[in-house]
Amino acid sequence: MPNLNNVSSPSLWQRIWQGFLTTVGTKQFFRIFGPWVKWLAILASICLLIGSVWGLAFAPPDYLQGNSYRIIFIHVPAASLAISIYFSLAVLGVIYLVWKIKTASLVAQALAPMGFLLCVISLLTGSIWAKPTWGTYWVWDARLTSMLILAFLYAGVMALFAAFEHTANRGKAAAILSIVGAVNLPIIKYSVEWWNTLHQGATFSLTAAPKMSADMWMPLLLMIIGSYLLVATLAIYRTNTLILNRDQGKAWVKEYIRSQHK
Amino acid sequence: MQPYFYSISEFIAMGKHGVFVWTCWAITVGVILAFIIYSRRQRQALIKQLTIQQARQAQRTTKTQTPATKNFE
Repeated sequence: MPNLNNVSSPSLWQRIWQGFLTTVGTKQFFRIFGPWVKWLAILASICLLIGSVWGLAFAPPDYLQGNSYRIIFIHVPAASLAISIYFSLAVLGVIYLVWKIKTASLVAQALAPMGFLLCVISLLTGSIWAKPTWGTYWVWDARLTSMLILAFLYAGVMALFAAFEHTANRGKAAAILSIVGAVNLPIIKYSVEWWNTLHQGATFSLTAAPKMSADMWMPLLLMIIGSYLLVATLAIYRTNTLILNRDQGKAWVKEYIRSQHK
Repeated sequence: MQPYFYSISEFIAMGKHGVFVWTCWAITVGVILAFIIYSRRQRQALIKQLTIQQARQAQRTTKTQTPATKNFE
């Protein structure tokens, strides 16, 4: 008896999997995450505003670096996000290539320019910070060089997204570069430990207590949380723009466009 | 909680590091705001384009279709 059932209808696992695939469809993504944008944006602005004022005006100066260390409040969140976003590009690339989930590719496409900009910001702020601290804007050491390579990888991913936009294989080449380029991530992470470098080690880790006082790391934590929220906000918003563009022929998009003008 | 700086001019000067700190913040805020505005414009342009497209399509269908089916909107 159960054998007969199994042949005619899909197994429970298959049904769960099919259900999951429909929930990560573009329409569902748009419907589910669209309303989050406003609230995430508000939360992000609050975190970033409090973090900025706290970090700039209230936190004490560093005993060695003086006030120049206040650059940390943008440098660290930007660098951390540049690495995290690239990691998520690689994960999304795998999801897209293995399970052919279109939404994953669109999220990656929405994220790539943000990762690039944050990588550039972390390089710029880092080099401005380096001037008063190390006496030079740039040194070709491992951390800085691997971060520069990350910026080029981002540029490559963005170029591949743009180049294949109007082909059947769109997103595939970019996904492959995202995955291959991820080998750079552990190099960035451990560059300060593997090689002699001017760059200091990690300020935060999940396993150890912060190496700075509370009125320094608390605004930094706020800035990190705020910038992750900001990236999430923009990722959803930009993905939804891409979804509207990609699915513009679909009935639900037409209905949505109509509802925008009532 | 007390602000670390005693005056606004001290806050702007930040010892000798004001130039470095404020340049960083200006670049970052500028880039992020520009990107937000760019993303919003992209969305608005797309919606505008799709609206025009839809209006055109609606016009075409009203011209060709019989009166019984045209008032679905």
